[in-house]
Amino acid sequence: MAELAIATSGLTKSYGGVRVVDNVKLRVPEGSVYGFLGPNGAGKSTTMKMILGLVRPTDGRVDVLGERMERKNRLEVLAHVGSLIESPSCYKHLTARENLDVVRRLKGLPASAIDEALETVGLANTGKKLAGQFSLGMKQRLGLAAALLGNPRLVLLDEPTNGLDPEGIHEMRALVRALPQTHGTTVLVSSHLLAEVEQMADHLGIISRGQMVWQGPLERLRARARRQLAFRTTDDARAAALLGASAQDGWLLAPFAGDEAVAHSSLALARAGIGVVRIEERSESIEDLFLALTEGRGL
Amino acid sequence: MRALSLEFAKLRRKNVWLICLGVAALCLMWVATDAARAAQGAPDGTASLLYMTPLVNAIVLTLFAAVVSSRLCETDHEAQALKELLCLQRPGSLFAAKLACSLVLITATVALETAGIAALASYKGFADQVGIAGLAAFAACQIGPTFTVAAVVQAVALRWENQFASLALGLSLSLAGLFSLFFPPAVQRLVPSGYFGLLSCVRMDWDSVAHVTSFYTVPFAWGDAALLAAICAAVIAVSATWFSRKEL
Repeated sequence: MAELAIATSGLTKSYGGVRVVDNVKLRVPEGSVYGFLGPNGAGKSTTMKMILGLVRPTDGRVDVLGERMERKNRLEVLAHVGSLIESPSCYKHLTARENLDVVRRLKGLPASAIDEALETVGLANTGKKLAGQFSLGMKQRLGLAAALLGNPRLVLLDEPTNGLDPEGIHEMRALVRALPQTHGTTVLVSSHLLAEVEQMADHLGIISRGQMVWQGPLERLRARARRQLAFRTTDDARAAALLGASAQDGWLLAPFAGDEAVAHSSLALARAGIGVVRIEERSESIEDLFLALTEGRGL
Repeated sequence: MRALSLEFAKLRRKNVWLICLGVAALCLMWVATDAARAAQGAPDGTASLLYMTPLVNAIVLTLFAAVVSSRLCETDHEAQALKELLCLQRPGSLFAAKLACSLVLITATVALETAGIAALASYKGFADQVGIAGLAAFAACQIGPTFTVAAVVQAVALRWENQFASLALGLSLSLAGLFSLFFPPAVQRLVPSGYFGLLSCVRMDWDSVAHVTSFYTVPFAWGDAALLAAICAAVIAVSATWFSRKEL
């Protein structure tokens, strides 16, 4: 089993008796891009803030890069962690370089680290332009540059594509996806958009109403997608009884079967005098699975 | 020191030094109008300046302290930088750096003002010139209340992102400081900006019959200085504790 960059157990946060994060067990393998997916208000940001020690857990434990996070060692552990939580921090009256210099000096890095980070996010040519004149996408990239400064082993990105235009989203995705290969960085990236996470992550954690409802490699979730056969016939009522299928949206849905079984079914329908209009193979999308999980229906 | 230099780096292009210069100039112009009425070589000219300046400072330096503190905190609030900064530095370090930054700016402003007063007294040839030690003590008595106001305002400015509350507090303290000077010392002691008057070593007598103003010196109010230091320490301790427990 791969080493874990982040491991939480029993992580819980309550506000006024309401559990906004409930007994979360997060497992982020080192070297992965871990998509932390959930509807708005599911507890993603609060969980990430607890990992960074910005919010104190009501209960539970957080291990980051093999170290148990405690108040006394928090900054030592976070020296190897970059983060972009909720919105990028950006001093509008400073240039990109001056903004990053604040972080660089706190991290105790050489001045050359700024050039590298600016180059990585494509802001190397902003010169004396003040951050206040940046577009939202540029600010977001500046926030990412601050998170990547000094090549941290782990980066936490909270909804990094928020407010970006399609081109910016595409660039951000490509950048995040490449981080494990180019910088050896583990990435925990949160989003409420499944399609986005699907395109960036190789591991997935789904949180709903403060509880982790599923986590693991994305491929494993894809493998769990149900496949079905959909029939449309000249007499759906009789066909349903014959095939043991259920009717849904004008189609008869039967469990997936091989070619031979499909041939037998169509022959049986023909013998009963029922014409087969159409047969389709359908597979459940990840989105269906996501909805099933977040709506509490399970897989 | 690194945290302090970072606070100054964050204030780049915010013209804080210009504000310091402007405030010192404003205070000096105010007291200079008073000095202008004094005769060349007057025997108590410097005393009148040292009496007048704390009254002006109770208004102007109190507001200045509020503006400086508020601006220091607003810089991080506006940039939404606290979440990032507190992953890289301890809350206590950030809190202390902001206070230290305020102290540097206040000290520079008071030093300019004090140097201006000495220059004014010298220009007018007042007979009661004060030495370096006397001027340093005077400056310290201006820095103390100003810094305490800055500490109080910083507590509020870090608490709320909207800086209206901190600036309103600064304005209230400024007015309270001015009006407290007309009340007995017991009332003055309740307001940080009231200590400008309490720590002043120059007092005034007004002979209403002869229409003559006379100035006299009193011993330094060690008790009030200690009380102010205690208030300042308590404010810092409480707000630093709160800030270190703040969840973002």
